[in-house]
Amino acid sequence: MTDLVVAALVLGSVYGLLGAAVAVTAIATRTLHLAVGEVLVAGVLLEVLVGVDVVTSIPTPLAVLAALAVGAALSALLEPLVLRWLPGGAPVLVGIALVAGVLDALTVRVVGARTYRPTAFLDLPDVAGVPGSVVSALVFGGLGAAVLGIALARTRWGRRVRLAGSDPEAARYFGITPARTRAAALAVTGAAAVLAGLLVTPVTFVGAGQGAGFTIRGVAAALVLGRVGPFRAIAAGLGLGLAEAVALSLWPGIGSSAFVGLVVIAVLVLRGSEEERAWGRAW
Amino acid sequence: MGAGMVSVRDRITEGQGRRMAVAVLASVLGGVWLIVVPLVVVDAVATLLALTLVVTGASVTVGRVGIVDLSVGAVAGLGAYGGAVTGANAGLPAVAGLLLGGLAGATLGALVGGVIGRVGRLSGTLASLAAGAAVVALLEQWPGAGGAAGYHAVPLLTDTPRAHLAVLAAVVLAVLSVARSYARSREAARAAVAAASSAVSASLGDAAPVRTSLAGAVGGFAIGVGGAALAASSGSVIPAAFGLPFAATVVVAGLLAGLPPWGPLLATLVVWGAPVLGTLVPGEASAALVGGLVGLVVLAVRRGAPFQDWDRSTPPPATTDGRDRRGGRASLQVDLTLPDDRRVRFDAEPGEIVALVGPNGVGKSTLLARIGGQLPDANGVRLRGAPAPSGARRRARAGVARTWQRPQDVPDQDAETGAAADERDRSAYHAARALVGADGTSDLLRLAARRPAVALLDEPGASHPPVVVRAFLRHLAASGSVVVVAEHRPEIAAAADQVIRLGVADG
Repeated sequence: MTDLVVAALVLGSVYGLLGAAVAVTAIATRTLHLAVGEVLVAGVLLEVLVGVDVVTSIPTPLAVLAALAVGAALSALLEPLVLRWLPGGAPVLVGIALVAGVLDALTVRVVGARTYRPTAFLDLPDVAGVPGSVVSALVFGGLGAAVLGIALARTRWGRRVRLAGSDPEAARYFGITPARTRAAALAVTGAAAVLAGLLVTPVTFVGAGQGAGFTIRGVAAALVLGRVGPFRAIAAGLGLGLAEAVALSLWPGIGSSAFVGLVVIAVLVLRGSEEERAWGRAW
Repeated sequence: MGAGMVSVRDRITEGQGRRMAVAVLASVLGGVWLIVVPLVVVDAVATLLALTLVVTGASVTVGRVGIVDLSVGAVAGLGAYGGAVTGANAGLPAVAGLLLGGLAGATLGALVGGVIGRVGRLSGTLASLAAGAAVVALLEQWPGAGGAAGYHAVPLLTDTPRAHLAVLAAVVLAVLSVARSYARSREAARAAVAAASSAVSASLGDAAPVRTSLAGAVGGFAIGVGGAALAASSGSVIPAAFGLPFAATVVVAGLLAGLPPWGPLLATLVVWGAPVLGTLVPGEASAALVGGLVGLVVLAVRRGAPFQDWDRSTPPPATTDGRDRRGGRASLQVDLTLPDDRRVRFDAEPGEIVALVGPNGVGKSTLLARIGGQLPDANGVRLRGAPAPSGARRRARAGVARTWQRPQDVPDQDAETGAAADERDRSAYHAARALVGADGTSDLLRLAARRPAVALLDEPGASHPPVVVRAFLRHLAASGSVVVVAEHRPEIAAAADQVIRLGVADG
């Protein structure tokens, strides 16, 4: 039971942070970061490969910084590669999905099917018998999501991101460059996603080919509770973490992919569309 | 006999004759090519043709209808397992296996399409990604089909590779033809509207999930057949091969393709030509790494435009089944209470214009939504003397049509095609086009095309010149509609027979 609660909380914190990161991109670009899981996997694998004697052993903090930087850069590249060239709606979504597919294929090609456990780099002390790595995941995951929420809601940067997302033309009149603001928001999302991936250490391994799974969880955490926002993402992430922990304990063989996927679809179907909710009634 | 032959000959136009000649010549040349070409080329072309089937399905759902369905990889996988593997295990004929694959794909495509229609485009993309991942995970757990290692004894469609290619080519031609017909149909237009906006779809009398589900089934069938054909061509099925890289590559090709037959053929060649024919990057990931990126670059250069433009100019059907005929006349009685407890009552006869005026936030749009069925009305709306049916969709079918204050982002031509009730009676539509111009926003055209018994317009003056709106309102009224317009502009309200003032002191 304790293991189940610990797994639920750790996964929930990680998914909450991932969902909050996706929410930042959704608010800045009015689209979904469908490559967030692949960015997470790429960053974590880099941290492992350069920091744990696999390729070259550099100090863990440097490896972590390199991973965060790579995550931020990969994610920010979506702006000049996809958002700038493709019209909004379906083409942009398809373009981001393609980048996700390419990253997925590349990581499989580079590191193979092996899975890795990220280096525990932020371990806080044990609290009441709970391992420090678990405490770290809970604290830093929750803290990271809250920081993103506050930054969006209360800071000048957050106001610029919201304006650039909701009305790029108006943003230009205020001296904001929408493309640069979108790229910055994407970079924040990428770095936060890698951080989330590093915090998952106590519960699970990370490997190439797992990107889509993380994307589903992150985007679901951002979307399933209705209006996109980091604080709602924390709540949704905790719910998803609980669902996955239960699934893992009940059907470890099948894995959690199918179960989590079905839960996400069921919640979305019950929730209905944005338009429907805007009117308050089904048509 | 002679007269009959002349008659038949007369019916064949010059264009048809030329096409038939080209088809015969192509068949002969294709047959000769098939006999002399090396087997390695035969295998590569068979793979490309199977992929063309998958791209054709994706072009219908992603390109034509606008659904971003990332479960297409899983749909192809299900087609491969449901058709090729099950068919081979059960000893079914190869063509039956293809049909089984198509049915399996259509089932999953319909389910995912229905979910996307229910939850909207963005959430639907997530749902399709989740569905795809779930199906691939389940396929990996299917011990009867080799589990994660896959199944590696799928037979060809026929005994020899050359005959396999000939059969596959015939199947591709048939599927391309069906996909082309669907893409140009009114059904596809209505599905595109449903994918873009469930609200507009409901105002046309449609249930968005049903329309998108049908589109998903059509696309899924082609993808499922393609999956089965792909398995037969390669001899193997591996669940992991149908994951996100494959799905993303397929949707890029689907978006790039456009109208069958040439669109999907060209897109397949551009995206998979190098990986399949050139083996530039060996390994399973080559398609996404090379072809997917090439497709993305081409898509970006073309700013999202497909190779072949979708022909959205499909005329509505020449006959009507009666259900779609929303014309006719109806009186409207409204007796509703606004949120501030103010009671609003008015009666309107066909040909009458009612203007709702008042400051922002007083409830004009809410009142229109209650008359239109988007919000509950507590039986306060009566049509033809009887309580109006509940819900926007049923009310739309009873002859109520509306526009929105902020025009909905739906494809203009699709909305008009979906709305048009009867080709023989499009006077209102043509008049609207004459009034607002060919490039006018679709909301007024869509409204007119429905020949509504009751027309609801929410601040049309915000997006059209008052002189156009006044003329349009008069035209609608003259054609027998009850017209209810919420408007700020006095010059538009002045065209009304009744003016209902909301949120201002009586007198």
